[in-house]
Amino acid sequence: MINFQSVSKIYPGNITALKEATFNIAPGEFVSIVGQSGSGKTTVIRLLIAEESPTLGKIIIGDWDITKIHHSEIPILRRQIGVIFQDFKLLIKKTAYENVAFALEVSGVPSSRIKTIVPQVFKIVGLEKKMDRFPKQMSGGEQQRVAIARALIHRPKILLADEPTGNLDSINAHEIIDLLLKINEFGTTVILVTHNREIVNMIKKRVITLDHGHLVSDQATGKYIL
Amino acid sequence: MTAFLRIIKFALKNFWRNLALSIVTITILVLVLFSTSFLLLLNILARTATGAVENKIDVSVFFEERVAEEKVLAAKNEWEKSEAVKSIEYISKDQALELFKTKHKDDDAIKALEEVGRNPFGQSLVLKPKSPDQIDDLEKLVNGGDYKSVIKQTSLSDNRNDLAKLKAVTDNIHRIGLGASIMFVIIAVLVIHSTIKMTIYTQQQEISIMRLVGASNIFIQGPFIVESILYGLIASLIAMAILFFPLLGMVSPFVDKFFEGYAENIFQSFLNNAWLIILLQIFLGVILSIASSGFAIRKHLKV
Repeated sequence: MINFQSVSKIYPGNITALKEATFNIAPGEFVSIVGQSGSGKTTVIRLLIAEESPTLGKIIIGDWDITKIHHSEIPILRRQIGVIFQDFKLLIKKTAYENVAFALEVSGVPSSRIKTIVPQVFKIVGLEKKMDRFPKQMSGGEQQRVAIARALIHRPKILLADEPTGNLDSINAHEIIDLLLKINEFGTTVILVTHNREIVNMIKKRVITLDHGHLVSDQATGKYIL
Repeated sequence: MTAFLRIIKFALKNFWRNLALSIVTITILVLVLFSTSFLLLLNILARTATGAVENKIDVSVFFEERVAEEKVLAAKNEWEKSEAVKSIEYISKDQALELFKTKHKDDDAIKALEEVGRNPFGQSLVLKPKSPDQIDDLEKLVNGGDYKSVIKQTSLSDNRNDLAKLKAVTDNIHRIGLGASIMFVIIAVLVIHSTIKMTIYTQQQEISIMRLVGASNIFIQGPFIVESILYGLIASLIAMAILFFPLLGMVSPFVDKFFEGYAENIFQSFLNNAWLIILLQIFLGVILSIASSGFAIRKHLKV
């Protein structure tokens, strides 16, 4: 599904964010990428959504070599990869419903279809009764669920979660992880980028560990080792 | 169609969110369109006026009363071969009489004509030069040829001084207008560029989310382009309205007085060329807006 082949990312000033990383993620896997700040975790996310291109190496998603992706193909790639972030990235002047519908609107999906799909996704994340609330009227956990709903709206094959529990208390964090596990059970490949030791150890799934841009460990049922 | 309507919706939203900036942009564009349209109108008017003055430059040749029509027509044929001649009009004895009667129908001259009891007018030819500078050549042509003995009188209608004055004044107005238009165009480009840049910055979060969820480039860039087209269209409508009513109403009497007797009424000129001016305004407004916003989008909006 996802294949990193000796991928390096070197920023101007000879700053190495990722050094010859090679790993493979199978369809339907749940993988945690862990490491301290500056270890290269977020670079992996950026490379996967083609926000950056690698300095060296190759990244294959499905049959698609995204290191050679054309500018006009990037939106198509991003519709197949849902992304959630620590800061939710919700538009505060839009309701939860409008935030999720927005993702479909800007992809040219007809309004009638938007009205059908959006409530379905809210049901998956358990917010079907709070669709009309604005982000400020929701808890952190609920806001992250709205972000997940938005990430799932294109029925992506891959869900990238970049520190999704970073702004949440322990109860909300666990609820979000449970939701990610549930989404993974439906067949979506989930890549969780985190430095939350407790969460990683609780999940008991594959763990890739990065340290200063180097892939230092890849355990099938791993723990947070740093 | 859905995508197109949605881009327009987003553009309208951008327009309202930055209403103050939108108003400033439109005002500057109105100035550009207004000055260029006025310049165009002035050009049309000046061309009509100089044409009219040029048309009044001619040489009238009056033949002796006894001269046969064939001889006058032979002179006409010969003179028509000259390089300097644009056209020659033949006026017969009867036509000359009619012209006199029409011209003096309300005064005593008509009574004097009745006293004479016959048609005292001879035939005449009116020669128009190809260019105003050739009027002297025409004079030489009629006075220096074989027909000198049968010519009673020649009359020169030379408006070259008026023409030179008219050209000097319109050239100056043209120069000032052109300078003002260029200055306004530069200001407009800078203002539209800044407005779109500001809009991009205020929409930064929305744009980043659009990118994240896989919005196509046309959805990200389209609203800004439509917004700029909107500026161009609204500005051309306002410029047209200002040109049409208040300004032409105020300026028209002064300009008409200047061109009196030479060109048609400025308001009429404007009406006759309304479509040309509307198209020019829309074209200029929209092209200017798209070009300036295009620079801003290329520079500040990463897709």
